[in-house]
Amino acid sequence: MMRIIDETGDTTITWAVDDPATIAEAERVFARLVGERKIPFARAAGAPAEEAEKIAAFDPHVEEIVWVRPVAGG
Amino acid sequence: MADGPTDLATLVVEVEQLPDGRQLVVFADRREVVVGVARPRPHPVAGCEWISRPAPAPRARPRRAPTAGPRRGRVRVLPDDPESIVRRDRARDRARELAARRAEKLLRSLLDPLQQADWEANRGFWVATPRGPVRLGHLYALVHRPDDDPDREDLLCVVPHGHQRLPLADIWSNLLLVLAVDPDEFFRVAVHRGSRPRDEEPF
Repeated sequence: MMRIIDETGDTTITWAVDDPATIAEAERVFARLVGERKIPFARAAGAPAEEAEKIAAFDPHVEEIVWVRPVAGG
Repeated sequence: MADGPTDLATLVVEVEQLPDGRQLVVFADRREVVVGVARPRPHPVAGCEWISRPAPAPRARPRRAPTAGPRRGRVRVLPDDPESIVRRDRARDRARELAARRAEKLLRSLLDPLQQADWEANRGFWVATPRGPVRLGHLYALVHRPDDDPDREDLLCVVPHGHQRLPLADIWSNLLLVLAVDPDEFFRVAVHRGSRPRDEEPF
């Protein structure tokens, strides 16, 4: 599952490891979000932030990918 | 013309008796005034009568001026116009509330038990980093306690892009993940807004 932080709280994208069509769609979303400079962090479902890992490519076996926005000084 | 009855009398040059009993008073400046009460008199032409005024019509009964009183009759309650501002505001408020709930749920799932307890009690929590802990909870004034100076804490400002449109809890989730996983990026962009002495230990 991907959770993309946005105005609604977050938007969820799901896929099934045995369904190539859903994986292909998730890969397309992943590429689009990378293009928007958003940052993906992978984690086991419900794991705290300190156990998350920054990833560079889509892996359908990851339990959860949380997408955040780039940060800047205010 | 001068004021007062005495002065008026001196200015009168002529007084003429009118046929109906009234008097025409002529003043020196050629102004004229008719005074007195007209009395009925016979018409000078035999067989004719004065044309009298028609009898006045009966006057309308005085009515009270309308006042704002209680409304009578049924008050119709109309359904909201789908395009009305009120309805749109309500829908926006509901959407914001739902977004805040979703964001809060995600944030809680990213916190460890100590951070969760702190968040519950104080709406803030510490995040350990290699450069010392950072407290998330005050937007635009994140407290950083550098490891190399036990007496000082810095106030930093770091926000996600477009943070104004995000629920607050999402902002903390965003900063938490960056701080916990990629602290160098956090400190690279951080704007230092000041320093102050520490008052207590975070952990």
